Amino acid sequence: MTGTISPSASVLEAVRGPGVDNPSAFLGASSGNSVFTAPGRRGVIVYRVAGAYLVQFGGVFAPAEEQDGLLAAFVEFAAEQGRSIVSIQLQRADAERYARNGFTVNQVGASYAVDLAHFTLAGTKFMRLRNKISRAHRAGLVVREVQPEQWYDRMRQLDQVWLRSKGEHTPELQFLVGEYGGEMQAYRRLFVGTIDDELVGYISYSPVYGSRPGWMHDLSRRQPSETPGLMEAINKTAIDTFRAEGVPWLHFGFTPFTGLDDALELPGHSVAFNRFMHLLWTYGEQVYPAQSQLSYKEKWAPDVVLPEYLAFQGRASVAGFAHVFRACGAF
Amino acid sequence: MPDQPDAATLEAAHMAVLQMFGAVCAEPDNPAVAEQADQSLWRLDELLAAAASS
Repeated sequence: MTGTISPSASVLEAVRGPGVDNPSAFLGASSGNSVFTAPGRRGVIVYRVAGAYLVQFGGVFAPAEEQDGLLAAFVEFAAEQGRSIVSIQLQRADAERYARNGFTVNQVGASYAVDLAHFTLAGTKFMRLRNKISRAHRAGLVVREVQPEQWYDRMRQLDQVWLRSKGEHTPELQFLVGEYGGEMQAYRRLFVGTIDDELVGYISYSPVYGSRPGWMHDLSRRQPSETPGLMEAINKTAIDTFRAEGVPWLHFGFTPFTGLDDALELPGHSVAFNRFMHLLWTYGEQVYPAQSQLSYKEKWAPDVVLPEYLAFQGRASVAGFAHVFRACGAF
Repeated sequence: MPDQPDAATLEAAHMAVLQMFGAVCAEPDNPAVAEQADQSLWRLDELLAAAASS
């Protein structure tokens, strides 16, 4: 008797296994992703087709000794289609592997994590944050962890309100962004905030495996409103819950164009692409709201900032980089 | 390798990369635009290398 495993389940199995240490790896199991495997090889590669590119998410999700072989098979696969590979959200170890395999690798941003064992909001550093959270609760905010099935309709309505508030033609991003519902929902956790029983915000947390296990502050939405501190209050409740459970880490995920450090570039990187990333940090708020997103993450005083990388098959490429956004549904 | 580029040349080359990124986003399936975008990046790489070598 043979059994089949869904693509999402195969990704989940791989990212929970040895050799994978990417805080965002669980997002590879989201719906809509394509999954590459090679006969006789363990592990998976998650990707999406975008024009002339295969946009890979994360590194090779496989035991370390399998990664070079699976990457080589993926390179052949791309060549058979006449497409080029561009790989986003590589961790440092992945980046070094891709550079060894002839890719041009550049830092593209960073991800952030808080050590929950030592976390506290005490002190003047966190006074504004505490005040915001207090104001949200004084406005009647109630935060709790819930099972999502009873909340999907209200969450979808909130999503539409949130999206409209970003602008009439703003697309809803996918791929590098979490989701709720579907086959993988059993692995996520959901905290909601209500005022007078109306849903005003939610944060979905995705599991993190590897060397800093815990949860990742993933998909989050709020009602555009005058009440400050809604997200902060929801996250604080989640932190309190996780700390009580002994969860080691809370991750805030990847933000492009942030944490850029020339000292973190690898040999063979494109200096011009490095400059391009710095320009997008300074001027690229319309491309991606990196500064405002980083501002939220820095409120929590992350203990760890992990550089994340982009790898190009061949020379660094503006077109390849643009197709990462295309794969996310940005255009 | 080009001669030592002046500041205006470097700035223009930086802006060209930003503009071509926008052009690719507007016409992602246009291979000529993609090629022009990549050439703008590689041109900037050459200019930065020339600037660094002086």
